[in-house]
Amino acid sequence: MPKLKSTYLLIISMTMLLVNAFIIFSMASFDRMVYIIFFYHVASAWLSYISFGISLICHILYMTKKEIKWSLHGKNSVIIGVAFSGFTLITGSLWFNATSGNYNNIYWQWSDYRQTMTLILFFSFLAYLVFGNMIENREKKARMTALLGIVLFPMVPLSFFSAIIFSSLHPLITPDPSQSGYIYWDGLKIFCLLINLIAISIFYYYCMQELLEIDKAKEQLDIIIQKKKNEDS
Amino acid sequence: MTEIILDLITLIFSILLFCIIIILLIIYPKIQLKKIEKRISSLKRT
Repeated sequence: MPKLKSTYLLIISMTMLLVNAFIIFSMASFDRMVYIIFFYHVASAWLSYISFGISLICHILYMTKKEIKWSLHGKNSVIIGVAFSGFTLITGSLWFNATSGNYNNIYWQWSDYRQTMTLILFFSFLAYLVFGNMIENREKKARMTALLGIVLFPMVPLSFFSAIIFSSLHPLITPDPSQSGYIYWDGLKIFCLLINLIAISIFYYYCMQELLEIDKAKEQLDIIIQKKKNEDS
Repeated sequence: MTEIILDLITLIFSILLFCIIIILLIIYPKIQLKKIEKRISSLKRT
């Protein structure tokens, strides 16, 4: 039954993304075609922040309740977060190259706080996954990764607010045309962006369910291996 | 003209990358699960 439910989630999210892509390409008007990247860049950035946020909650719950499932949820959330923050970084630098110097091969600006902080965020959580895989003992792994997940979390608000607090070339979206220094987006474009955010959030929930299935199977495998070892000895 | 072509290439590359990530996130758990299930069944047989 849960398998069927997760398949439904996948179908719903993919349908939403496809229909929305059709609306974006056919109805929304842009000064330049490359502006369409924004719909996917923002959606994946949103999902990576949400994933890391949920992983923080899971790690705190593990530390308080000591239930292994919370540690596993936290790790799975980080996997999704890392995948989408990687995509955010790539599309961000492509966007930068397209809009700042009109294809002068300028992909990266180290002085841009948002770009640099997101890169640090990406590598921090990638290191978290590598570190987690290096520990064999289940309990120790859960404890150490939970601790690391909590310690690394401040990178997320730092990355998000860096474009607002510090100087950044990162543009911000607004539905108000009178605000200078922002990208003005009309109602339709903001609606399309919202649909992408909802679709990708449903996809996140689907991925969490699927990754949990792996953890359950791994647990079953560990029990069988342990039984075999006991029988042999 | 060149800008339009470069815009199109950048856009296609980004959307393809997005699709690849989505497909990888769908396929990865399924492959892993199959691997583990195979191992479980081989262990049970022995």
